[in-house]
Amino acid sequence: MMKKKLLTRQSDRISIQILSYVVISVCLVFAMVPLFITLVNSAKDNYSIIENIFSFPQWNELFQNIADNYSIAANEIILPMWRSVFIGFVGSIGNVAIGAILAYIFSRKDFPFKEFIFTLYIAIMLVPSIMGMPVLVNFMSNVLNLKDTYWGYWLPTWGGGQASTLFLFRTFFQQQPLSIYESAEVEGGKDYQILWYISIPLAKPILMLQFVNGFSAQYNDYLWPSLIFNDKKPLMVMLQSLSQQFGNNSQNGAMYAMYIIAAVPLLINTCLNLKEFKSGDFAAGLKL
Amino acid sequence: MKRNKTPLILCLCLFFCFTIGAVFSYLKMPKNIAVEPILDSFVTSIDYKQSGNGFYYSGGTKIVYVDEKGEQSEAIDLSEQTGGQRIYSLMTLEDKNSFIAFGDDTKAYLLKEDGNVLKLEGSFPYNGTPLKIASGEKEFYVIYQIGNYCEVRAYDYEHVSDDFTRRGLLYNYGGKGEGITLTLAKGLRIVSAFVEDDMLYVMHEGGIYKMDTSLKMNCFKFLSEDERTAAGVVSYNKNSYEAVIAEDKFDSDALAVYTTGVTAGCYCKENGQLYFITNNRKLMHYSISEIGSQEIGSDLQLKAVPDIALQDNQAAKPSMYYDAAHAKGYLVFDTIDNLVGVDFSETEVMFTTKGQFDVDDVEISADGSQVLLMYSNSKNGNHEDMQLKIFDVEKQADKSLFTTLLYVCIILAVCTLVLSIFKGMRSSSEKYDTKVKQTLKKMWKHKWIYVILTPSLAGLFLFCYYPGIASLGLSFFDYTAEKQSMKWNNFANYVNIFTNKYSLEAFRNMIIFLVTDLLTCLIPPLIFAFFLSFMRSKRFSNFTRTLLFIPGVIPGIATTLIWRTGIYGEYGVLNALIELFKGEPVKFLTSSGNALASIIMMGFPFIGSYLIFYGAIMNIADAYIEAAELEGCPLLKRIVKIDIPLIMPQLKYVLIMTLIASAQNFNRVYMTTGGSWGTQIPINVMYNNLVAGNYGQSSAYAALLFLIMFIPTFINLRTQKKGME
Repeated sequence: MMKKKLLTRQSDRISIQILSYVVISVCLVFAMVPLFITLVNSAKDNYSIIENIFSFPQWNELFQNIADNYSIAANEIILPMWRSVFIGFVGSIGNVAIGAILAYIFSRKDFPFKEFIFTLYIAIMLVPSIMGMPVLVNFMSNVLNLKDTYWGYWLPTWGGGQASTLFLFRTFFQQQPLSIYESAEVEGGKDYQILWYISIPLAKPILMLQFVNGFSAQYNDYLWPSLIFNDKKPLMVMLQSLSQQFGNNSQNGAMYAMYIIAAVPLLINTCLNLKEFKSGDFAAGLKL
Repeated sequence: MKRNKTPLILCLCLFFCFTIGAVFSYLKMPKNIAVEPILDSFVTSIDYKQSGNGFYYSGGTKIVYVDEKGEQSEAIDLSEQTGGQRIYSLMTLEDKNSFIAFGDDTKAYLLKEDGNVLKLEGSFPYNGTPLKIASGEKEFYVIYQIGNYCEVRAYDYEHVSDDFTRRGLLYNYGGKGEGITLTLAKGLRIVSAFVEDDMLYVMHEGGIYKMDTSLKMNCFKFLSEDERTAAGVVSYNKNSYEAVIAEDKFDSDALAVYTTGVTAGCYCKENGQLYFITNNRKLMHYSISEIGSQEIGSDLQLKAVPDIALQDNQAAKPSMYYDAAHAKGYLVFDTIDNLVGVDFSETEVMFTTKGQFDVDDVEISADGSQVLLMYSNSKNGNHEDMQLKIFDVEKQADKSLFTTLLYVCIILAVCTLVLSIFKGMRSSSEKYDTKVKQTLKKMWKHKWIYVILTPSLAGLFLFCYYPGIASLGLSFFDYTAEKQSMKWNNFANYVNIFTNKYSLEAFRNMIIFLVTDLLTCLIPPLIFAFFLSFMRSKRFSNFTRTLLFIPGVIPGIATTLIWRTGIYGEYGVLNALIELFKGEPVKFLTSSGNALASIIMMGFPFIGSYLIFYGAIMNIADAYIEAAELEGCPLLKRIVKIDIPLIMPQLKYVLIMTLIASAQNFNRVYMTTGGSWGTQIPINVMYNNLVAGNYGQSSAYAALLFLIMFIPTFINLRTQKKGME
């Protein structure tokens, strides 16, 4: 019986290994610098920050500084952040729901003009959203009177998002085993029941992924919210002006605290799909 | 069997009928013309042309002529005469084809129409503020506000430059006592002034003043003591200009005052009726011939005009403008936004227009077919906001009717067209007939699908197709938020983009960013992924990957801002390091030399999309690696010849995504430099234009960006489609 020996590769040579560790470590350090200074400086008072950005906060002042900075920051951004979370959540759920229903229709049903209608959805993916923004702003504000409302944000997001969501979901729905569907139909299941009890649970990973991506995209979105909202600005739109305000008021510590707080919803969001992000399997699994 | 052709013929006939109906409605629809002033400064006053159609408006030192189609031409420039001061008021001299232009230089100019141009016939000085003009046969009378009273001055047409011939004050009629007391008329809102039968009528707030054109009962201020006594003045107060005149010397034909209790009115020469509009929107009238029969100083008993019903809105201060030639009045309610046209001779309401008007003045063209409105969209009545619009009176009357008719006809025409096509096809071939029937049955079976799809498709069209196509279209017009003109501007928007140094720099920057983005998104992550894959310690590898996902959680904008202040800022990391080596602080983002490079270097060490590459590398089958090792292939050669081709799909994917994202990367420049110091990019310029309201220009940028991004987006779509199927 031959013992299976692991072949040493050229990349296992010491020189390559040392090089790898050095390169990776150096890159890690540089990559973490922004995060590092944000965390550290959010626990310092303003003067220390200006004096030396690298310095560590005094231990005895640490808790006081943290309390000060974070409470100032939280006060300012709690309302816009809630708005961002709210519109991102509803927007993303809406996209996923609409996408699931449409994907079910296009994958399981056959009806006249199906291909033509599907092409209509796909064709819009060629046009980037910024193309239509001039007219869209005008249309939403003047014709529909939806400026500065949540619907003014959601409607175009849903309208535009359904194309890519439909495209993505349809493939996954088509890959689901046919036998389950057939037995469900034999049992006399209605369409909405099949959708709710079979299609969606089977496609849960991709639905979750799309929700997480959608939420992240909408939470981070600056362009469309800045055009449609005047008074009810969500967080991203206000971030720049708030940071300048903190800077002018010599509250740099609070400014850094604000960035940390702003990351919390995204952190929670990503944790929902942690497995996918870490392994990179999904990325490799993208059928390219 | 010959199929029945009757339904087809019927449908075709209906189709033609509705098409004709639609065309007819369209032709009959009123076309309102927005007039954009061609002056440098804002519009101050408007007037109508008497010898022909069209209007004049004044602004700055010029007067511009607008014809019935909205074409403008300069009529006269009085900058020499006024010394650069502006003309702020135009007043018509009826039946004389001329008007007076009052300038800020306290000179008034008599201008006579000569074709579309104006000729200066004379000028005279004035003081105070001119309120109204009334024109008679040989003379005209201007009512001025001087201090807090009104003065009337008479001028001779032929000898205007000799200044006024006579003048008098506007007096109120007091009771009897020692004599008739004449006190100065208080309140200065003159709504109308006209000459009838050699008598000057001034319609004033709450009253009508009727005076002889000789002004003999008004001129006491300007007489000497002896002259006054000779005229019969018993006492005269030099300060309040009050005069008491003996009853027997008072000529009641020369001065009479009546109260009306309303604040807006006009005189219709045709039927000799004075029309008034009360504060609660009632139209009243009074016959001018009856004025003499009333007791002087008494209240005119106005009669309601019964057949005219005006809309019931909240009360507002009304104004009236009168078209003498056609006996039509135009009522404007200042704080309410509509203009009501009333035909006095027919006593009926012609039309009511709606709009965001705060109307300042209304002029009617000589033939009564057009109305020029000077209004502002803002409620503070600033002259800077004044806009001009020409309304078509005749067609205005039926606007809503014809609009509805037009839409109904169009819809019915389309329906009948479709129907006739179907019928035609069905009647021509039996096979097609059955096919259509089958399709329709199938559609009915799946009707709920179509019901669900309808709102979805509607959203798709409303929010995606329509804005996209309309934006492309808008880029060819001069469309801005203030002036919504659909004027074809000969690609001016695009020409501007290609000739403007600023925007060319923006495109140059975009290309620079594109190239650097491709380099930074492909090479460093790839190298990093390879090194990560070489590492033997799985624990370290996992640790790295976990650690690296944390910075990705911070919002993109926050990361950009952190780079801006924390790293590139005055007290940031880089400057702190430089200070450590005793250097001078460097301005990274705020200097033209450094800004672009700084933005490009943002995101160092550029390991963003390493995970995709890492996953792909890890998935390379061991067999390939081991085969290469057995052959004694050097590491670098193996990477280049084997690994990279095997992960080519992922490389392509990242390449395409980077191309698409780079052109649309808005935050990077906006949050750091805002486009200054040579870092502007097209999407930022588009955004700035959009926010400023230059929709046309912004659409041009969007269209160009679309063209640039079209190819990578298309390739991406094709690849995804292939991969997914």
